[in-house]
Amino acid sequence: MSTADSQSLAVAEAAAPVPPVSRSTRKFTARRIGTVPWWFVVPALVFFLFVVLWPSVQGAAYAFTNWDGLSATKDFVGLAQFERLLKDPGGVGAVVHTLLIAVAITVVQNLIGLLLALGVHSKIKSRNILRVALFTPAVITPVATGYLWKYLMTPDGAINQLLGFFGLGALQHDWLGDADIALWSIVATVVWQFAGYSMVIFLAGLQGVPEDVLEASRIDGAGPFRRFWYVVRPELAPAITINLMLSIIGGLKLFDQVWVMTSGGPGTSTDTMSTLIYKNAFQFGDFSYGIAMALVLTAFVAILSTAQYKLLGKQGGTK
Amino acid sequence: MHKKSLLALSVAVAAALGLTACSGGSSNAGAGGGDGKTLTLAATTNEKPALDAVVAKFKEQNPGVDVKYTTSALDQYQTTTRTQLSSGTAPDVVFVWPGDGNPMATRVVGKAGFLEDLSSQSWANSFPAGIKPVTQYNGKTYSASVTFSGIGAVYNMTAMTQAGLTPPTTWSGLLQFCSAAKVKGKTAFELGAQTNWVTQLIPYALTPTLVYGPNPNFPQDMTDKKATFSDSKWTDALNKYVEMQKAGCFQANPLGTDYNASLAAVAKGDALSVVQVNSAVAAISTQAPKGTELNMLPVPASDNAADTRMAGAAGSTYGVNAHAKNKDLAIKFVNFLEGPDGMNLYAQTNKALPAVPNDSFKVDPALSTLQQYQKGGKTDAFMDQNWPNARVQQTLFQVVQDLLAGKTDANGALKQMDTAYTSGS
Repeated sequence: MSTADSQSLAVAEAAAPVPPVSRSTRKFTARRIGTVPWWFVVPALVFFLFVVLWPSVQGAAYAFTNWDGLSATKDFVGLAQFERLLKDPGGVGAVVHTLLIAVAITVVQNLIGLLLALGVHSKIKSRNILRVALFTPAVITPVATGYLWKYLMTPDGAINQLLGFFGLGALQHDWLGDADIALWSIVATVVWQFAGYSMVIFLAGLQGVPEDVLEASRIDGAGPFRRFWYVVRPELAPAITINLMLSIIGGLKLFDQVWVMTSGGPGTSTDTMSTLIYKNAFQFGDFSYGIAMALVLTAFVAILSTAQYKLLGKQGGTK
Repeated sequence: MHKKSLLALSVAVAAALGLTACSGGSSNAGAGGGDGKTLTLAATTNEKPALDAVVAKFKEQNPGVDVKYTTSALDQYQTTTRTQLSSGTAPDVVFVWPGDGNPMATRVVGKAGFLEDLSSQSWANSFPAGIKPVTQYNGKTYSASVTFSGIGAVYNMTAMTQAGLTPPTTWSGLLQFCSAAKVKGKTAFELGAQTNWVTQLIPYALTPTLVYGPNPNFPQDMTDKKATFSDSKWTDALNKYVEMQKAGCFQANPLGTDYNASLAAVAKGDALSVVQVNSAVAAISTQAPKGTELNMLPVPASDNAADTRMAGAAGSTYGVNAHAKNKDLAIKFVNFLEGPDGMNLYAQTNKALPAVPNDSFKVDPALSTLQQYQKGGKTDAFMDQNWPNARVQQTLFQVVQDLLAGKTDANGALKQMDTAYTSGS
């Protein structure tokens, strides 16, 4: 059969009247559509149950014991580990640091990511190179980034040298050794690494903004800010929701960079819930207390991210 | 495919996945083989050079025997080995810390029943008085110390000579030394306090003279609740730490400087010394220009030089996994380490002293003073080896950083340590 023949046959088939579907056929199709997919899910679901859910539930049970992570014996202590957490001044400090980090990263990273996305969503020739360059830090492992910035932020490191070179000696600082600013130095490192990641998600959203609507608003006399606020922003709502959720969850769970750069110090000035969980479980031999903290962190992440999702959903951010 | 067949296939695949996961765990448990000819061993990264040497010697003396050993960073080692011990997959021989106060310390792991009782071995009673107790739990020997380590000021004597300065022998002399070094544009004592464990070294260097020498029963007094940190001369030790900082003994940003950077400064001669454990001598030597002379000396804490003592204690220590697949071979290896050949080779390679002093050991000239103090009984065990839980030492790290940052004072810092001391088991 020639190509022309097959094309005309396809057109004829498409144009042919569709035979009426009987009620029983419709029912059968609906049943098939409704029932078939879960068979495919079973292997993945059972794998998930074995590898993730069951070990997690087993691990969570230790929060209600006094197990030290090594001994053969453990006693059920009820909620005693959670009560300890409430009375632990280190725990309260870590919660505060965790929230500060999560909020700062969420705001700054997304603001910078959005500005970068708007910048590279343009007609400039080097936009593709810029997109790759700005996204590159996101593919480096957080541990490597932590070591890199720890080195750059030493008292004699590149940052202070650059400041000195440009005559900004007054701004030179002990970035990780000063308890008042070490937390913000870590935030800056995380923002540097993941602003490009946020940028990519915003960029995907920006590419979905209809060009004709933008053009119409331009003809109607809307300036750049009004165009962004009334045309671009509503279209970006899903991207904003995803970015905010990812960055707040990442901020709440942050461990690698903090551990590599300061190990929670100086003193306890950069301790987060994650570093405290690690210290208690593995350095203090207080395993069950560490697990109790991990459960609280999990609840924290779940509540905050769900609340944020619902809130943004009401504003059309989950469409 | 029929619906029932599809369900059966799905369940079979899922079950296979689950069973595969289980069998993976049990095959790991067999690591080492249990064939009587393959010994498995794990230790921290610092021990690697010494292990390379002693393992080669052990294999030479035992043809047909293979030794598989892994080393990892301290944090990772503690986490991994504890997990392996509790899940029955630990190597035959494990590196442990002497005494208590650490998640992988002899008493912690021995108490949990994961270390083999080595009391019947010939060497178990030959340790000096300062080492024997920290290898034991409830009167039984559970670990074998191979080296003796000390804490002191490691001086770059070449840079000292160039600066026209000599190591101080009294507390007043130390403060003058700091001023004189400053005039010469040098840092007297480089301090890498960004690295947690480094923060403890100056208190450990000062308290033998201030606390543990005058009252050797202080650890027992603390156990008996007759003494506390905040109500002892530990207060003097932390106040002297702050005094050193105020006198300009350290570089400008000790909290922004880590362990490696502190050693590099001494190797280059920018700093004249660093208070460190003896392994720093080897680390500085490898970075310093050829011919640089190093010397490890006590840190004076009083104005009577004769009172000065050093922190010196059991160093590299090994235990035999109570559930070892090759227990006989593991005990044979530990016995080799405790013999003069193994012990001296290990100590020589690690730039330490042998746990049991012997005349056939050739001491590194940089450590001759430490050896004199060891032989003269003028050393006191590292303090954490007698603390009841790991939280005390970690609290010390934290409060010293707070102290250097001006966020607390000696009394406040020691009260936190008292709380940590009484909080754990």
